[in-house]
Amino acid sequence: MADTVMKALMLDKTPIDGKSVLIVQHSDGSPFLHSLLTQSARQGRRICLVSFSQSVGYYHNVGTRLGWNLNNLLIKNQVVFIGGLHTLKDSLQFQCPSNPFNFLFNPALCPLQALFLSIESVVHGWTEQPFSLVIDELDCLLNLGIEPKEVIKFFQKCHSLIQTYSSGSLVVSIGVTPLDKEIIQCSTLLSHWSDLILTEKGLQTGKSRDLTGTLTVKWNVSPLSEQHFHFKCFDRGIKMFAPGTAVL
Amino acid sequence: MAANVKISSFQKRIKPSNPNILGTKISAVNSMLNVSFGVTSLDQIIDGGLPLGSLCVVEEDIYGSYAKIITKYFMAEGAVQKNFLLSASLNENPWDLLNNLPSLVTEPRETNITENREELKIAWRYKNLTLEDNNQRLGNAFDLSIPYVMPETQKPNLAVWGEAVTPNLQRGTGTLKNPNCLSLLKAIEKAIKNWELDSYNSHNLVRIVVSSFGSPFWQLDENKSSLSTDFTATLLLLKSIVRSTNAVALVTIPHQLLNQSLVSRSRHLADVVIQLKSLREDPHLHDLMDVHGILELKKVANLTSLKPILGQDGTTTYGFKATKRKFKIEKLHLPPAVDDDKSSPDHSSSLGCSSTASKANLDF
Repeated sequence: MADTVMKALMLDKTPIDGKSVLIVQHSDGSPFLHSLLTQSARQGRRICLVSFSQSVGYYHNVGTRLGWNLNNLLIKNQVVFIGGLHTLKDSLQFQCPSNPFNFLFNPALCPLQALFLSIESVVHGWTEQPFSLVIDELDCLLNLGIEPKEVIKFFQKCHSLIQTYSSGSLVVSIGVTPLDKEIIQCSTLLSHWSDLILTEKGLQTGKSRDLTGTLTVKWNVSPLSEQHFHFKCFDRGIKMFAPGTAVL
Repeated sequence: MAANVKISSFQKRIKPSNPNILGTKISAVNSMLNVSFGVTSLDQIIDGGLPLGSLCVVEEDIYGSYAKIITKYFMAEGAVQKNFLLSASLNENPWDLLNNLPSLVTEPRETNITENREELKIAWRYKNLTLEDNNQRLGNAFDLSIPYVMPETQKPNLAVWGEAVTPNLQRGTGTLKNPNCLSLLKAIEKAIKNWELDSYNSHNLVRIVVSSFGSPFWQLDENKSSLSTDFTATLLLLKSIVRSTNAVALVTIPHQLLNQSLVSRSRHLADVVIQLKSLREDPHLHDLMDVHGILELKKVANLTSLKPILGQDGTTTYGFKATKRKFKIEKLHLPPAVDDDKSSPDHSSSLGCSSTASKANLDF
């Protein structure tokens, strides 16, 4: 199943090194982020996973169903996890300045500085090897009270980080809803800077057993194409269909 | 591309996590521990109950009355299972919720088969359940008209947070500024520490209920021009607390009073989102006279795999009936057509496809 997803995203022919991917999620769950994580793990790339609203256990559980073991990779130091719900909880209890979420309780001139520095320190150690910087649900930063301009600056810093290392790639997911103007503005701006934009939407008429949702794949660089797919999520992966062929 | 990295999904079997936490059942679907809502029909549509460590947001109906019933059932189930209970509310006295819980009723059938119970070696978890449905593990039934008398031994298991308890609040200095939210989070943390629920081998859990979070009493709208991010930040922090301890949180929000962007953001954050709509709100719903309101599962997050959880038969819209004694959730269906004169349009008449012509023309 993973191969059909990569084929649909055209990532089997185009290498992901040096590219930035933006996943715009209108619906819940992040199946394509997990697919990209699985692909990076299979290819042996180093992964720096930054999460704001999920715990390590969640990525591990979904990953085991998709065929890779996050805990093992964490032990081997092939994957570094930054953030997560336990760090958020620690920031409530301990309030130490190196905690990336310390901006919630103590005033800071540049609230995302601690977060960016921790990412940078991880990535500096991986200069020659292919790596992926995966940031899940960037909109959670807006939920935590950071202003949109700070979030944009953070994204720009991460983007320039991978531009300096030709073998890195950036995957950012952002959850949007049509009612929320701030987030729509952020996601539109970020989509101008990204090479590949995946827009995941649920079906317009509600939920269905046959299909989970629709995906729009748009390349801003070399393949320069825009394609639509339907997809269905299973326990073990995602199946992609051309629109209308799901029930065949 | 390092093609020779072996990614194996084989895992050595390790000791399973302690299943003896009071009030939880192992889910048949994904082997996580589930906590019952108290309303068995609600448990069934969410595939067994609320997973331990998750945050459930209930979007209240217009006056909050049905949401209050759900919170009462939730706490009553906790009282019966001897869980710790924490009630937080700024709208009313938080002790009101804990003092007015429905009491347990036992099904009459149980008396016939009690003599068989001694011979059968049933696991302790199944002792209280009826044998009505052999396939499904049913929960407890409650009667709303009979108040529950909390036994003295359980009184130390209760805690509250509310206006009377928290004077002299300080505003926060970071991005989370609202003093009520900060005080609530600190109180929850303190309670969890006192009850030792964050240690690995704790055998109990705490059920946290925050009633009407985001109502004007919380004073979240300090600044009219921007969205109050204290609301979402508090929900996220609450989620982080319950995820790492033996806790489950139910937050009811008066979503009609809040900015719709805030409500949609809170839907992204929570694990389970249920929306209640009473018949009073929507004149089109009067056609469904059988039920008292609509319950919609706006979101049920799957914490272990990608597969979406869709509810029974793939529907996410259910009806609920609330009588003086019971609260029950059932599938929506058309009420029986009694008269030929009374026109009974399809319940999708709210989409405008019902015929306004009198049915008498089609009399056969």
